[in-house]
Amino acid sequence: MSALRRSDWLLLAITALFALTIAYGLTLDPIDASLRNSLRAPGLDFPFGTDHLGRDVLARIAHGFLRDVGLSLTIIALSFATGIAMGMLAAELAGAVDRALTFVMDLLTSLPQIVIALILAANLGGGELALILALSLTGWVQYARIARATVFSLRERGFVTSARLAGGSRLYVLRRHILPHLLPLLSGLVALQFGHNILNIAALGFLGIGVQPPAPEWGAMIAEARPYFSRAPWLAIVPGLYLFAMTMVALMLTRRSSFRQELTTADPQPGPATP
Amino acid sequence: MARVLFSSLVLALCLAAPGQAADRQSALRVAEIWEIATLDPTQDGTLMKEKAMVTETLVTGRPDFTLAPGLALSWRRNSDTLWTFTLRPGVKFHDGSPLTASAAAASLTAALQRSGAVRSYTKIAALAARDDQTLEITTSEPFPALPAALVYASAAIVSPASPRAPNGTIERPVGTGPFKVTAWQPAAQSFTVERFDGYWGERPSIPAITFRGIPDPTTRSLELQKGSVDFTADVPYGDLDTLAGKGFTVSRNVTARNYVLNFGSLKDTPFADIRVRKALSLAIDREEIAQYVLFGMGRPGIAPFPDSMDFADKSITAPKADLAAARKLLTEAGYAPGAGGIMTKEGKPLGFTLYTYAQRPGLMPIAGALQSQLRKLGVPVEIKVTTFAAIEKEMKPGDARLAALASAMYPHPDFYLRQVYHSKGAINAWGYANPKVDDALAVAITTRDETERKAAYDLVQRIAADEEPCLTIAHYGVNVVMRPGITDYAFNPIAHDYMLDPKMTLAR
Amino acid sequence: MAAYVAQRLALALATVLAATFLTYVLLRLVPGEPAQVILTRVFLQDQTAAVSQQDVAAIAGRFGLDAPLIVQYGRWLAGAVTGDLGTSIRTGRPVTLELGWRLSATGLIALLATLASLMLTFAAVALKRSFPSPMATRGFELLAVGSIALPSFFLGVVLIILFALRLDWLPVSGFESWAHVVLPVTVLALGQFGFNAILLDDAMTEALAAPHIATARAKGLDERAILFRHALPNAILPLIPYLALQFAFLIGGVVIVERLFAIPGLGAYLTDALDSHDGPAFLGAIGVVALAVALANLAADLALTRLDPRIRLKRGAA
Repeated sequence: MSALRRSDWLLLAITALFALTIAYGLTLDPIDASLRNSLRAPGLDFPFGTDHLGRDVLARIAHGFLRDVGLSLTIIALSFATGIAMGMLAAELAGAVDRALTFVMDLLTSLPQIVIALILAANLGGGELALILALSLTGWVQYARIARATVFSLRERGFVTSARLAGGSRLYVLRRHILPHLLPLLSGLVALQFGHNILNIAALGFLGIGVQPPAPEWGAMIAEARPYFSRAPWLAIVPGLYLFAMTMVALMLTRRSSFRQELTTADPQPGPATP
Repeated sequence: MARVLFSSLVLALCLAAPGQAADRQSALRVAEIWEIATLDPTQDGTLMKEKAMVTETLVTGRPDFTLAPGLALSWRRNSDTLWTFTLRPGVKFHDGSPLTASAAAASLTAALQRSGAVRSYTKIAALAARDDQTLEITTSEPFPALPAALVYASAAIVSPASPRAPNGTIERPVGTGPFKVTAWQPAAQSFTVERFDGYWGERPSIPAITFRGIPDPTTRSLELQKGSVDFTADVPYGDLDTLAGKGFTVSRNVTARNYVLNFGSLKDTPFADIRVRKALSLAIDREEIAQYVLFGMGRPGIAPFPDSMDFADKSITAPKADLAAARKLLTEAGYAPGAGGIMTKEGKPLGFTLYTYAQRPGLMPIAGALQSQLRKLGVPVEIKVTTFAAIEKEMKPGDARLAALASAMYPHPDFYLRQVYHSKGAINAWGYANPKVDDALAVAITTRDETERKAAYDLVQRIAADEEPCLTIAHYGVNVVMRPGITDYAFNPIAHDYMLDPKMTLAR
Repeated sequence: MAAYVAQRLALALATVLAATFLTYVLLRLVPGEPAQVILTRVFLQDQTAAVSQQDVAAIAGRFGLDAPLIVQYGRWLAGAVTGDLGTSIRTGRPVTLELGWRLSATGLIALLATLASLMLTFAAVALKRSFPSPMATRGFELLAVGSIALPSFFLGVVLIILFALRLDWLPVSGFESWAHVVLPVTVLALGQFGFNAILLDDAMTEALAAPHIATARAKGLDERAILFRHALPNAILPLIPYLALQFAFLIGGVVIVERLFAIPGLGAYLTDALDSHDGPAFLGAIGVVALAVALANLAADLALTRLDPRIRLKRGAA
């Protein structure tokens, strides 16, 4: 990537505006409310207006950003670690273990993430734990599929065979010779999953699962705003735009990275995130 | 998959068919606020009785919560447990058969079998038809509130010939009301009722009503604005002014339900101290909540019943919110501002998790408002939204719950006061015990003297407002919105959600 | 081949079994005694009625909740095999019957959404490839990524306000006529369009790099003919297993869309059943979803085997 293209500049500008407003919003209190200020239109006092309890929408957007990103990264970390471990395990041990793990993966993708989240929420209450568990439980499968396929294809390659012949233990070979090949392959998927997680957290927030009020979260903010849509449309539009912008940036970055390679290299089934 | 495709095709053909367009011209189109899963009155009694006006009960309630004759013209208490109800003559079921005492007994017997609520509300032990017009009811214990309990919608009388599913569910109730069910499409969650010509009372002017279940308040409001629905209830509170501005008839009403904050336990928690409870109560600005959070959809109050009810003790008034007085009370109780201004006693901060649920539209905004108001007192509140059933399991003694409790499932003060304030009350899980309350309730249920009974119930209400074992925040409001051209509608607050009025007229 | 199909079919069935069993166990692990939960959630909601032990026992007896877990699941499964999914606790109707109603609504919407998204995908890719320019590329990318980034519950609200209220062209909610189907299908289709478009476009790039395309070009074939007759058929292949994967996503999207547009479909059935703890209804719905996803995967697998000679070879060797 030599010079920035025009669309990159646009991306950069959006990101900068995004970052600036969030930074400013973080200095404000997202929960402090005066009911008498409720449903104020955007103006000088409140750049993005106030919600039905008189809370500053800008402050909630900014604090919601932190929460959404934090949750999304947690889910990615969990999925990533589990996925790589399971994928390599399946490929390395092969045979019955491989078949069993593949079955578990098939099983987990046979139900929509939202439905799994609903079931978990019924058990664990609608808190963040249910959300993280539900999204990680399904999230790791894609990493595992890619890891498994890569290990299978690398195993017969010269450098791996020679490392093994040289007496490297299985774990050593996996760690020193296969993992370094695997990580760059997965980086695109990480960016993609980041975008999906944000959307999924928002969608579950919309269904009332995940982040508990009054903690700000973008999807929950849009859901809370629906009853006031005709009177205070900014309540839904502002978080909607931010959600759109953030996912867009994450996905654009994915497009720039090596995502398209995995789609074609990761046999048997390419693993685009179940969105 | 082939089956999916096939049924899709079938459906596609159905969608293309013209439908009953002619029918719909003159029908009132109502957007019901719940999913319409069943027409069985023992399961969804209010839908059939109060909304669709298909079924009727032996006794009915007036808007001030006094009793009026329904399918029974009069009733008499023969002994502590034995009652005689004289049925209204000339009443016909929708299938043309007459209402007899044995039909009523059969209907109630089936309702008792199917509905735990009917059993626990009415306490009926036995039913007998003396003759065609005389029904004898025996209760399992002395129960002066029986006539009031028979107002409960699931105790409505349906013809024993009503079609039933193999498991006993009534598929289409054959009632006695001014409207009869003529079409029911469970797949589309909609049904139609038409005027019943053999009705004993005044003939309604509306020929037919169609109901469609639209559980989402925002969608209901949009449908109304679009003109595809004529009548609905419980639209988003923030939309009411907009709708009124567009010419819709908006009525804000108070119904028999209270927004109540109750603590997990009054034993060994800070809330055992009446000063703490009063301080919290004083820090809550009920007026502000009613005006800015509920948009007028609810009336501020600390008494168990709103003034509009006949049996309310109208001498109780809610004190104005007073943060300074609240602080003073907390100081007297031994609390002092600690780190971050949080009120603390012996190193323990005063704060709690407030559980609530999402089904009632006012609950989550009120919880948010309580959180911000109590924060000003130095009491941090954490909100947790879950389901009503789950709260009981999760809540710890030091936590609290915000709920919308029905204050009169039937129009009698005993229903709510006993459950909430009696030391053995069914929902008094927080362990409030006051011998004075228990004694007064015992007197009220046994005495035959109406003045003494009223005095006893008034005393309980005053103690409730005085000691505030649970904090009443506001009386529940429900809005009814109609398109222009619907007239002569009167809201009856005895409704559990909303009620239709057989006198309504409809101009196109 | 037959052995392969049988093996895959067995695997699909095993997935459905495992999914329903897990769901069953998880449902029963919900805090609280099941009969009591059913009583309060289905029959009382937040009515302040006394819950007596007698009521709880009656519910437990009525719905067979007193048997051990595995026996209950066994009963359910035995019924399910014969097409009897039990009785819904809320409505008292057979779950099979209700699922039939719900499936026809959801099936129609899902089918139309898939078709619409595929049409959009082909149109967008064809436009981009027919008029190659940096502008077209960027526009395509923006459109595709943008459609993924737009959350359905936000888009749905905006579309309702715009097309149902402001322009007054379409109904707000419900499922009564073709006009009712337009908005929900649009929301679902747009959500899928982005992924399909990116995937197909990438596959096109790869297909165009294949040697036989160079041969075709050398022969002087028309560029259009090369694009659509030679590259496209190869580029569609990777889309097929993905479409199957998307099926699960579609059902997830349906949950939100049906709630927004008040459509009595499978998604709404799932959430309502879970909310009211209507076990038989929920389990039946889960079974149907899992079966549909498994069958979709199987169908994609078989289609791919049929269409792609390379895969057939590979399987033969394995």
